[in-house]
Amino acid sequence: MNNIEKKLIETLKKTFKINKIPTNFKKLQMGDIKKWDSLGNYQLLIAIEKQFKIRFETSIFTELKSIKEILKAIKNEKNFIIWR
Amino acid sequence: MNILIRSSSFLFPDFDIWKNIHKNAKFVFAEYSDFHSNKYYKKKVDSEVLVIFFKDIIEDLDAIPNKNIEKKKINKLISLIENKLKKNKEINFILCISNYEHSNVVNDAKFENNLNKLKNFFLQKIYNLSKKNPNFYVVDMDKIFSEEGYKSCFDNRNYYSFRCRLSLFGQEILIKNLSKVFKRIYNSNKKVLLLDCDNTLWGGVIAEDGIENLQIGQDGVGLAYQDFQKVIIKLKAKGIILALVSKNNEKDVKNVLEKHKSMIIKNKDISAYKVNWSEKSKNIKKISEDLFLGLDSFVFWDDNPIEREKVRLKLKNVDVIEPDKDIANWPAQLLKYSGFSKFSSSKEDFKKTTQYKMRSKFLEKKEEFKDEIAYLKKINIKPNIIKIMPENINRAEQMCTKTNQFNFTTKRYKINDIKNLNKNSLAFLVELKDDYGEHGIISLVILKVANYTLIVDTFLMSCRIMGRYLENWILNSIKKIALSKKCTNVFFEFTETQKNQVAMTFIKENNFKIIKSNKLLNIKNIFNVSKKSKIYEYDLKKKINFLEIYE
Repeated sequence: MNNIEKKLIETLKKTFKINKIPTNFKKLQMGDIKKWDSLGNYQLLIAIEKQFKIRFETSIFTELKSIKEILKAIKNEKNFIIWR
Repeated sequence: MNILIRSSSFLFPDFDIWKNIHKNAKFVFAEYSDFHSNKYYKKKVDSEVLVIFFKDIIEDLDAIPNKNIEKKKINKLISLIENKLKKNKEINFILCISNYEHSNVVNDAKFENNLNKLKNFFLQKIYNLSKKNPNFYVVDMDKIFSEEGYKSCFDNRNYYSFRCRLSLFGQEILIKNLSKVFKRIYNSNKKVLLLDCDNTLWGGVIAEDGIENLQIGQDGVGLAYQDFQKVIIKLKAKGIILALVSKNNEKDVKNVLEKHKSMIIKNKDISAYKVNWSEKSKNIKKISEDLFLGLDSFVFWDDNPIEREKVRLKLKNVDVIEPDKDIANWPAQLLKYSGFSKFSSSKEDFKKTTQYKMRSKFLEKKEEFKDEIAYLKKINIKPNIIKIMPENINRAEQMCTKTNQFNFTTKRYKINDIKNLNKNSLAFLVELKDDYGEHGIISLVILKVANYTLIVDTFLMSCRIMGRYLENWILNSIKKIALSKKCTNVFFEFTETQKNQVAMTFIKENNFKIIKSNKLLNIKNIFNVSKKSKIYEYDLKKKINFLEIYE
């Protein structure tokens, strides 16, 4: 597991207030965790933005709904910004 | 503490940052744009925060021909708030408003923005309400967001995605500011500013650079130091007490304050000097004891990080400020500091510097004198008993609310209670003057008499005149009244609090006897005394000490 994935797991735990992440972490998507509903999803994305110092534009923001997509977006340097 | 949050658009309810508002707070978030429904009151609500973005309730003003409709909307909102205030006197309401709109410099070059007009109209009415309702507070979000930059506080993406106007950062800023308001609702403000001298009030070190080379008043840092002093003087005018805590020679410092023409702060502005070479924490503790003010009332400003760290370690309750690295930012930093601010001020506040200065002068001289009693005799202390009258009843109420240390029962009587007690029992005030000045009304005593028994329901005295054995003189006055009413027993009601140790010491020093068992119940029944209180008996035959001071 690389650094980005470790950090992402921490953010998931913190956002949804859970202690354990299922082993099939990379396959998780919205709905798989109790609090991960559509609103929970926005909350997760905003927490990720703060954690990774990135920003998702509206078109991407509303599309990201699974760990796979999120990991891809985190790595995409188009989303890197100089955060305050 | 339960806090209800209502907002015209969505806020992030689940983020932990909300906890920063108040450590014991529990939050309920109403559905967004629901300002009406009563279902949220089923559980007790202590405070209600209303967050209103004008954009959420007002249409695009330029696009509609009839602006009166919008004014009606605003009026409706105002009457909604008015109604809330009428119905829920126990709830604190905090209204946060923003009318932010992206600026268009050309459009605004000739005419005032319509949204602005509307906001000003709204604000005027809202501030009228806040004047009348002590439980209603207004937070102008535009002011706090402009300080941080609108661009980082608002986020259109969040709005289009899930109807949230703010960015995460914007919400953090709102919460940070709300926490300041909550802090002041539930805790009292800071009262003393402790200042270092060299490189804090002026640039340079007196002992090394000499008076003439200090940086104060000249362009550059000198001007910044001078402005910093101006802000300090503004605080003093609002009743904040200034004290110097500095490692220096006292003579040098007093000389600089008196003689240097560019100094804004003069000796007369300083209530206490602790200018010496001992540890600052010790000096601060001494000031706190002298002024009878808890360490949580103190704010410490010092340029030296080592001194700050030492004070932080030794005195955890003192607010140690971390000054900005650049002196140019100090005046603004102190202006923005909300620890000293409060929602209202009384005439008494303005007298504080003089009062505490009188007190520290009194203590200074007292320490110099070897014979305490001879000294007290010399300063012509003149107490005087006066009746409670319409012109002094406010002061009586104020003493009931504020006096903590020398207060036997800490009953927080309101004006109406005092009026009734004044009718049905014996109540009096004591005013005092001596060589240090007129101290005004500084004590309240309420006595109840029945069956040749006198009980002291209230005995309180302002701490700033402590050290004169005036409490003994008042005890003697109570004794005289008891004798004139042919009372054979004198009892004192006493309720222990965290702060009234001084009153307890007085009880011990004067050999009051605690009443137990059957007799206690009997007295409590006759005088309707609360279960929590203890009853002490004062023996009328016992001699009262130190009365010679007042002969």
